[in-house]
Amino acid sequence: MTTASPLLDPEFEQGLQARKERLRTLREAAREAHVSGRSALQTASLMSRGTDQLLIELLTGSLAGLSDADRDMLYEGTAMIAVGGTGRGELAPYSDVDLLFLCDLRSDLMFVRAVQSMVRSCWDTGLQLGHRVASPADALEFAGQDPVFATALVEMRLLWGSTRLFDSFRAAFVRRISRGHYRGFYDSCLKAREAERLQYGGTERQLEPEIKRSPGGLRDIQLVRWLGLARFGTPNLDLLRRSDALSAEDVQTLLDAQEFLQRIRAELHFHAGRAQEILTRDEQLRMAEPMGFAGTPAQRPVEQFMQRFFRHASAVADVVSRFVERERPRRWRTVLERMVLSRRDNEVFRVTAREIFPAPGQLPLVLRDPERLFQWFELAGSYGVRVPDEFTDRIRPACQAFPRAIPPAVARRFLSLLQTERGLEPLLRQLAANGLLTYILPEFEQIQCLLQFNQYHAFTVDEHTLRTIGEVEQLRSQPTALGQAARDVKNPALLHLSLLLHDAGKGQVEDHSIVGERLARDVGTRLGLSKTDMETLCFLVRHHLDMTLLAFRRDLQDPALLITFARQIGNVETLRLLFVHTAADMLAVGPNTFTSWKEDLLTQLYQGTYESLSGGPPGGAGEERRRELSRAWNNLAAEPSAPPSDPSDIGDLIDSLPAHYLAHTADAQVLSDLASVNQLGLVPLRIRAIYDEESRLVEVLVITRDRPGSGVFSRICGTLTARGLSILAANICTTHRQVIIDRFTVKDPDFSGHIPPFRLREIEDSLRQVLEDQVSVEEMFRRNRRLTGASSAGGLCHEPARVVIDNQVSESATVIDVFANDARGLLYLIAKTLFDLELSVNLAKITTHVDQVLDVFYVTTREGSKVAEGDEAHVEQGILQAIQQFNRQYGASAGL
Amino acid sequence: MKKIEAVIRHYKLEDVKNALTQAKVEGMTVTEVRGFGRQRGHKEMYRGAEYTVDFLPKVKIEVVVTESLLKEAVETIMRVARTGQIGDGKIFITDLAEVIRIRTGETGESAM
Repeated sequence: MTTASPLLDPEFEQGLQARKERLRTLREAAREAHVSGRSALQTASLMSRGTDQLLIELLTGSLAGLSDADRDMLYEGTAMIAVGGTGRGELAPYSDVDLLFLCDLRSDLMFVRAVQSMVRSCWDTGLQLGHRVASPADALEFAGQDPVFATALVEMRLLWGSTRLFDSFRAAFVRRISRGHYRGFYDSCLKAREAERLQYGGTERQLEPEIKRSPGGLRDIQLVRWLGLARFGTPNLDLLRRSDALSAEDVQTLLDAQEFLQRIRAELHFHAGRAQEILTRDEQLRMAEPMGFAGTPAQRPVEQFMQRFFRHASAVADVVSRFVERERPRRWRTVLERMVLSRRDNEVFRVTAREIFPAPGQLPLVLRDPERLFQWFELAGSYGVRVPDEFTDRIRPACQAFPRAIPPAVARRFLSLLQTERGLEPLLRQLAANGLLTYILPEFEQIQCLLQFNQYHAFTVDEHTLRTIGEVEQLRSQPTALGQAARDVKNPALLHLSLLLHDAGKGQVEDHSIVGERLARDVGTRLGLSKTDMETLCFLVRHHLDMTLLAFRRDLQDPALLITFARQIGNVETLRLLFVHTAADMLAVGPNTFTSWKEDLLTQLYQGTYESLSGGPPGGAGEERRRELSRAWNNLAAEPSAPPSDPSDIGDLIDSLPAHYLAHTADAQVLSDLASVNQLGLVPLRIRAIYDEESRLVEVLVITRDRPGSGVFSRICGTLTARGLSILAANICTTHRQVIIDRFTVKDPDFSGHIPPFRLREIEDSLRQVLEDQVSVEEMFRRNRRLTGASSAGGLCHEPARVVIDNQVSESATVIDVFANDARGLLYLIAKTLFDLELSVNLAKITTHVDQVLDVFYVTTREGSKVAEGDEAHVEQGILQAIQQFNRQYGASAGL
Repeated sequence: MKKIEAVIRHYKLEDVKNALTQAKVEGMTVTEVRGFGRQRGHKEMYRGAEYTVDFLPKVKIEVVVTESLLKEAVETIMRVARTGQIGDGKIFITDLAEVIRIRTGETGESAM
């Protein structure tokens, strides 16, 4: 051969063009096979056979300058071996070709030179080559260090050279990974694969999967082959089935998935003209219809295609993880732990530091009884240990045999399991993997692997759903209002159940919230939920998107919005559940969806609504603010002109100021109120009416000491109403030693503009007369001859009145929310009704917006306790009847 | 060519987006931002320490328009984003030296 540059050699140039043309023709033939519907396996073999031939010709071409004797000698002492996918005989159209050249590097110099020349030709031709030239000993040693190289060797195939050399090398390699070496090989394979899985997304249900390397991808099927060779002496799936290493069903699952995945891979390669392995969103859209997915009214072709994809990937991941678990080398430590270190939980289960499993001989009993099975997982949850994966193969067939009807005991176990606050997500994933989740919630089946093809969702519906559970757990440790709400949830099982079902209605034509509510009702019935829990569950599923819509699309400063929303929600616990539900839902959509900006808006809606419902902000008032007020008071009291005060008494007073009072009262006002309270010894009743120019409203302040059962609140409301004033807002609170600070915002319809001082004095005098028992409220009404029910805003809205009694919000009082249409005298009526029901109002917050009223009362019985549970309905009915009677009496005149 | 940056109330975004689309403004960048102007003090008055809010959530939109569309675009934003209350936001207008479409390398108005 000449040593001139090959580029100048016309013969070489000609040969190169011919080889390029060969490769092009080969790929064209493969493409035709692919398009005409031949199986992906056939296309891959076609590619592989053609490439083999080309490789052999390239090598023999490089050896052409040698004598026959030299060639024969090399043929007897060296080898060109295909490894990896090339070795398996399945080559994707633009895949790399992986080769191992075995020879003695010192004596086989001619071979090494030929290989160098061949490698150059390969690259020139357009074959991407991965190769290694090594002696058998070096190759084996390198395989011991590099799991990627070792696993490539599993499927080695001789292309050219010495059969004897190949056989002995292969035998030596198999010895190096099996028997005593199996554990090392197993560990390095799994470690390498795990790292790769994480690098390519970590879940088999991600939106832009890598066909080969993502979880559930082709590489997982190869993992079975690798371990198969080491454990059973063959990487062939059919032979593994004959050795009982895999069930026929599992082999079929793998073969079906392999066909589907390889077909996609070939399509990706052909379309890109290179080794494109990522199934991008554009490719998904393009490929769906050519792959035979026409779509349905509820699902686009791409969604149908990707659901199939995810089902295959999940099935692969499942078969492989069970296989890997079965073939895990037994560790003496695990065995020993199970025998010696476990303790009995009861007669049936044993627990170690990491796992829980049935005691010897108990497994058949457990597998027969769904209640025992759920108990097993429930105990795993409460001990924070795992049910070992090796039992999946036994549990899954067992639960397919259970009757469809869920026994009440099983339902109770499941609900109790859902109370778990730590590690619930992995537990539910295990339930899903074992078939127990779809046994108890068949609704979950419809959303498995379901894709939502839009810009927002990074996961399939089932994956998203399970992630919400983990997000709630994360939220519980956050020092934010959201974290507090997550910790305060009284019934975590209800929250978790709702999250499991919130998207269960997806993939159908109808709105998924509506479908979901129906499903939730079925589930609630099946699980035997109480009426209240059932209603809450249905509400959460039906309205799981409402808070998002309001928080991001509406003006949160609009009081009407808060009142309407509060009315719909009804009570603080439901609000809290929905708040946490909404946040977890958004967090689980994908990274960066729930920004702190969004969290702020959502929190603002939560706090505003919470205040509307309970009269105060969630979580009580800050200690910091109270300390600041104490400091400010002490500064004032230190001035020479200040009246004397008892510092500890004022300290107690500040501590007893309710949160809602602080939240709505500016510091200067608080200090002025404190001064009035300090003077109560000298002036036992302080009344002040002030006109505010800007709002054209009058603020009425009453500070005095209450006597239990005297009905101060009701009497103030009565007096103001008798004097013809509309009460728009009230903020009343009772502090320590029965001191009351009541602030009313009233409108005087008799004056259109500025209210003269004499009118303000009149209001003050009337209040004084009534509160000092000189005149009764009834007398005040007679004197003023007012029509008590004249509506201020004539029935714009015809929503019926609603009364909600909540015994859970407050430690010490019952909270009553009244939603009604505004009418003058309404507040007095309610106050009087409460008084007649022998309830004391300790705290009240009255808000009016246009014609909608939301009144919140914190009441106790005369004995100072909450309303007894049996009496709740009585109180609710009492107030409702009073309002209805009031509306009947005055409703007609209201419209005039 | 002008760039219009407008900081508006978050819940006005949909309306502004729709109105600008109708006014034939094509393309818009939206950012979740926080800030405060005169609205801040007003809010703090009524809220105790629990609720001290320094920066209020707002939305910033950026659109690029030709000279001829500028007036209409600005008027549209003004009309739709306005409530008349403190906190309606602000509009900033700047001259643009150049616009380039990355994919094709087109410049000037044809890149808009």
